Amino acid sequence: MKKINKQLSSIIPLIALPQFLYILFLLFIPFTGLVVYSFWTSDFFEIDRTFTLFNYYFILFEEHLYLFLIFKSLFIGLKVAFVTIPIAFILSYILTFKFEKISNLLLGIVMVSTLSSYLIRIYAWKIILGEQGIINKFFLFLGIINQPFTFLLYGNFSIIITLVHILLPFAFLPIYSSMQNIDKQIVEASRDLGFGFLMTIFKVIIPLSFPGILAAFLFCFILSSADYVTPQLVGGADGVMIGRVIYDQFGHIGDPPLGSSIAVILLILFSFLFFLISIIYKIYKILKTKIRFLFLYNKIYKNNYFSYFLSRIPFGYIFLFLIIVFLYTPLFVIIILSFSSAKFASFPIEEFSLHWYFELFKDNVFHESLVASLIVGFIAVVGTFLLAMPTSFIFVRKKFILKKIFFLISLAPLFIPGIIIGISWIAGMGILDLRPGLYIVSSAHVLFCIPFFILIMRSRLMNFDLSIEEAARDLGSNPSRVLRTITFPIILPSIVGACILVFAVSLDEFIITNLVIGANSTIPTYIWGMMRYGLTPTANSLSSIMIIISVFLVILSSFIMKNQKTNIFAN
Amino acid sequence: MDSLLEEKGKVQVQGVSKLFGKTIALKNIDLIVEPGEFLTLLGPSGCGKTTLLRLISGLEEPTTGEILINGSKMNEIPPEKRPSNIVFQRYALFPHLNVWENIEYGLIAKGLDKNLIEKKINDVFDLVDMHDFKNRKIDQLSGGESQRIALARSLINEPDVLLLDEPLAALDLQLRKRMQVELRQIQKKLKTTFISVTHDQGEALAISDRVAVMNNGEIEQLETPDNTYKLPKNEFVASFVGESSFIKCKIIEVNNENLKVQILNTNYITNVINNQKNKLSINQEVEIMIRPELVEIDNQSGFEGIVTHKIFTGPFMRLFVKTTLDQEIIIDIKQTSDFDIGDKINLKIPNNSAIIVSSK
Repeated sequence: MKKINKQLSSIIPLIALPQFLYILFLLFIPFTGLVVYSFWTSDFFEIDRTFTLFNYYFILFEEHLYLFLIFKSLFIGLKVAFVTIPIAFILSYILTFKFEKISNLLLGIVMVSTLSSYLIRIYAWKIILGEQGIINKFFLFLGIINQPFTFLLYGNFSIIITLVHILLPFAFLPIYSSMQNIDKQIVEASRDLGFGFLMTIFKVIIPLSFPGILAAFLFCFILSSADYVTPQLVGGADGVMIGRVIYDQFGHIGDPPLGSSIAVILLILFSFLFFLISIIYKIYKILKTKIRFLFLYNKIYKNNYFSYFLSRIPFGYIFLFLIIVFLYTPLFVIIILSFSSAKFASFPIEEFSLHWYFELFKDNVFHESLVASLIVGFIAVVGTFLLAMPTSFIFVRKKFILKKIFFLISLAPLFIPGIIIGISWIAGMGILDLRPGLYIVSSAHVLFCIPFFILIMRSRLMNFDLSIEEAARDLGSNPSRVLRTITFPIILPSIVGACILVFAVSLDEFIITNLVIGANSTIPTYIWGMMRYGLTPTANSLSSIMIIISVFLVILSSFIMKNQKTNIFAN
Repeated sequence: MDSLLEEKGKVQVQGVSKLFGKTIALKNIDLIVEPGEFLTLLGPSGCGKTTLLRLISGLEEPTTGEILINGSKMNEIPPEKRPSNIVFQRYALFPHLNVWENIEYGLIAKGLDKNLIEKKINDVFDLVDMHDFKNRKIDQLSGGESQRIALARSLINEPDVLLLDEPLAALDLQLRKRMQVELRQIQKKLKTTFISVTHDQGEALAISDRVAVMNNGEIEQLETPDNTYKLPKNEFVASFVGESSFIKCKIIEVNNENLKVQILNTNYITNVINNQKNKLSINQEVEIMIRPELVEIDNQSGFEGIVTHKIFTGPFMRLFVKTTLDQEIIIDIKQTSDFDIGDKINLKIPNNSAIIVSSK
């Protein structure tokens, strides 16, 4: 028996088994349910469980709209990625190499905006870009136009700008983290050896941060092309994307099997692209040493006057300023509007009051949602901690056969679009005959929060000086006392910080929650309800409260982790 | 009982090898460290010296062989149960505890009485002269202070063997030299066995009773500092410890006490010391080694060379001289000499100042 245990633990340590099985059962088994669903048919929620290829035939050969929308969505995803990555790259670059001294502060500023609710940020763009929105009001005020622009909202433009806004911090993090590992002196050496500024970026910085760029690209591409909330709120009739179509099949259209088939096709395309990119990466790695960017060599700065002129402009400051304005304007717009007493809040605000805050607190559904959110958040924190704490340790300290695969599996909930996880849970629940409810939401949040927790803890543990533990052993402590008196107290701030972040993530999670919550509501689904049916101004006040809570939680967690060495995406 | 007392502080390493995967870190090491001795493991990085230290401390287990401390076998005994303590290279002070808490950590693990702990801590603060630092945080200590606290944290447990992993490597030169003296004084006072690891040959010679020069996972020579410097067994030891010049010679006379060699390509003959085990015969080619301070200048009877570089080092002038065989001889001369680069110079190897380091 002991021998078998030992064999098993060289494949995967026993202590990591709960989390491994959790992800396996709750992520991959629902997938199987989704695939099964895709071979069934449905007549307005009456599901016919006979195996048929009808859905696939229908999508591929009869109704071309779906394929068209799939490729349109992938194309939008590509556009978002190609806009976001360069911005994220420049931002990472100036934070790492130009604003090194205040980089922690700036990092905090970027991250705070990340964790303020996804839903609220989309909603904010709707307010900014709409016909009564700030931009139109501004141009009308200046007299440049006398009719409001209509192209701003409800179209690809608004979808892309919203998604860039949402994904920019997520794209920024992996690139920034991989740049953190670049030795400053390497960059200086490159300049010293005669390569100009641009050449150094192409020859040194891009190759060394390439894994981060790739991760950021996948993030942006996959998450934006399968988004269903953004198109629904700011997309209008022209901006329909495939995520929303899938969502509608599980919603008011009532054809989950068709939705499942579309999702399966989408997943196949994603994996194909993933495969393609990994091949490109391999080829790139081989060619890396051979490619020469000779065509760029020092041409840019040939003109001395021009180069002198360029060097006078504080590009870094301008760029940083624009990014911060871009990230924060939507949040401030919501907060300012929430103090308007008007029923249809718009600029300029005529009367300030706390009226809609009082209205909000009178609402019973709000109270229920708040309690539900707190309960779910608490369960998410406890569950995530119990499952992911042991695995964070083994990812850093143990060698085992499945390590790489297990790590990828653990991060999968981050890279798989929320809609796919959500509908596969619906399919799985349908097959197992489970009712939706808060317990389902909580377990979904644990699934979604595990990657966040692991990324933070793993990076903390990688920077943990093992000789400190050895010193404790040497001074007479057995392994369990070392854990209790040394390891745990030292990493405690990171654990607390990670738990707070998990709570914040859970508090804001909407995409999956909305699909599996059934008749209950959490704060984000409550906001969603208000936004969709009769836009009441209480949405603004609740959104403002949520923004402030998120900001507070992020600042709190980064304050607690202040002296802890963490670099989330460090290899 | 007597024999047990005699063995207290004794470390025996018997046929120990250590493999990391396929790389061999240590090859069949035998070593006896006597009670109360200050032994230094000296060698270039990657020679296995730190591995040997970690094996003694119990932080690693040997692949084969045995380690005995105080005469009892240590295999399978975890580090917390061994009568040894280690001072880590980067000190490994617990960052979440202050100075006092760091030092009492080992005593609390032993479950000592509070009053006793206090007394012991005060004693150890006396020893390392750190009384004002009791309530300091770890990140408020300088390198030298951290070093003393790490030392105190280990010494307070009264280990029979204290292991020091490059204890002074992180300190600047002046502080390092002062700490060498202090470390030696503390060791003499406590009469504890100290085993230290370093790649700094000056430090090894300065503080140790014996020096074990290591290379490629093996001990090349185990001797007193004096003999390590004067009678190196082979070229590696000679060149790793101190400055040295090598000269090719031919043996022309072998008597019991009298060994005469002739420097190749010259008529110069001198008496040398033999440190080789294998037998030497007349006309055999050997390599002799001489330290720079022993070479003399003698324009009457010396052999010829050309000065190629000269360096002023403070106490003396160091000349690099190329012989007719293209070998480089380093000499240190006291007087500010008139020699310049390119000058011809006649060198003298005084009798019994050079030593044979390799023979074919």
